[in-house]
Amino acid sequence: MSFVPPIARLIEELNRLPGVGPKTAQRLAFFLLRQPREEVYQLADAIREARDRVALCSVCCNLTDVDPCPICAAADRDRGVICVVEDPRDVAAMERTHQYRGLYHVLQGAISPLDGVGPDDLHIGELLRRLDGGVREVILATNPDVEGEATALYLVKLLKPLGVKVSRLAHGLPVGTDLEYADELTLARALEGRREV
Amino acid sequence: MALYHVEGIILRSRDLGEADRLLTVYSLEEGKLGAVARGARRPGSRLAASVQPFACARLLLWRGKHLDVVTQTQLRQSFPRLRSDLGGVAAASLLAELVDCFTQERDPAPSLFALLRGTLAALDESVGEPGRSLEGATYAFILGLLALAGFAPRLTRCVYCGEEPGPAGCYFDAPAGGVVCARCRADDRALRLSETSRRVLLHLAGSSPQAASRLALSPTTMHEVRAVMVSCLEARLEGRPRAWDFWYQQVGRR
Repeated sequence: MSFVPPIARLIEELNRLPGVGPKTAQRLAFFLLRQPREEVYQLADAIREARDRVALCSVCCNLTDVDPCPICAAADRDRGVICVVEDPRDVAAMERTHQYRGLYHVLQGAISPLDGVGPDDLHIGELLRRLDGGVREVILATNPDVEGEATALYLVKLLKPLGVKVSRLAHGLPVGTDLEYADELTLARALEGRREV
Repeated sequence: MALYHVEGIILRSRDLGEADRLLTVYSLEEGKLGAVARGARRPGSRLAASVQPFACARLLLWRGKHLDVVTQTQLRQSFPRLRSDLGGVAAASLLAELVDCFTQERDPAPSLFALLRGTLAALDESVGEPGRSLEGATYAFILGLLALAGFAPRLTRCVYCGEEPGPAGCYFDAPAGGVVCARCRADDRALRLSETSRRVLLHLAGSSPQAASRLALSPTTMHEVRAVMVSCLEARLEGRPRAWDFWYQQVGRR
């Protein structure tokens, strides 16, 4: 069955969202059409406002609506430490710990040869430019998967010769896991990073 | 049977939904297959270690309507040294992309599975070892893969006239399927190939990945062999593999 052009266009646009298939797109479209006009306009305005006002911070490359972003502008953050993450969502995860008071740098991705993403596609040049201003330590907090590890290895190669301290988030066994399901790489790293109790 | 076991190597692992991974697996029993590992991105997931790219694992799969679902795994080999080296990751990524490109779903080829597993093991052993090269093992794999796919380049005689190339060298024409002599060379697309490079290619075509990783070559020979490899892949894939440039930066240029 074909829909009238405005509905067909809405379904087509929704279908382009990640994880939304044709049937889900139809469900969402008819849900929106059943909602009060004001609520639908609010959603449309929120999408438009986010797209228009959000841009990359000129310092840390995180997504922000003010430049520099609130973290880069904060006077009480330690400017000598930069935590390098892959994605803006990783900044939110680190902030939830309330343990870290330094600055961030968001690469906006990770090296993934299979997807054709190389070092030149990430915001690595911006990170190197920030190291002139009295940075003591760079913490590599990329994901502990193949892409994240490759990115960390690449950054180590670039940063070590610059004389800055480079550290990597600890690897080991996650809380609540079973030892028998851990792979040898995780176990080896957990052994390396063991602490006296 | 809704449940079945395979011995598989993870070629690709992509994020799916909130915490799942969408896998491309090359298995011994079923060939290439797609599967979902539910919750594999959550910390503490029992599947996480086994569904990382390049891991070799015994997988218990549930046959789904569209995609199969990974229900249990037992990690066989994770190739930890390979994964902790940038060149190793680049080489393994190239291997995984090539297997994905050259194979069809559910078309098992035990010899290809053995070649992939053996090459990953050779790369893992070669990382950081003096006298071992990731490049040689990668080329032996490419030649082995081309042979299994029915695209082995002819290296002993000219593909047109059947003459054996002389000591002065010859040319390599990938779209034509192998070496061509100076007389039969039709246009400028054919690459110049010295007699040493031709013999190296012949040696690599018959070598195990372990033996190929021990091959020490001059930069000139390596350059010619590399050009032949990429031209063979470009001719068959109608484009350069996506992982090639990163592989060249990390391995080929070392």
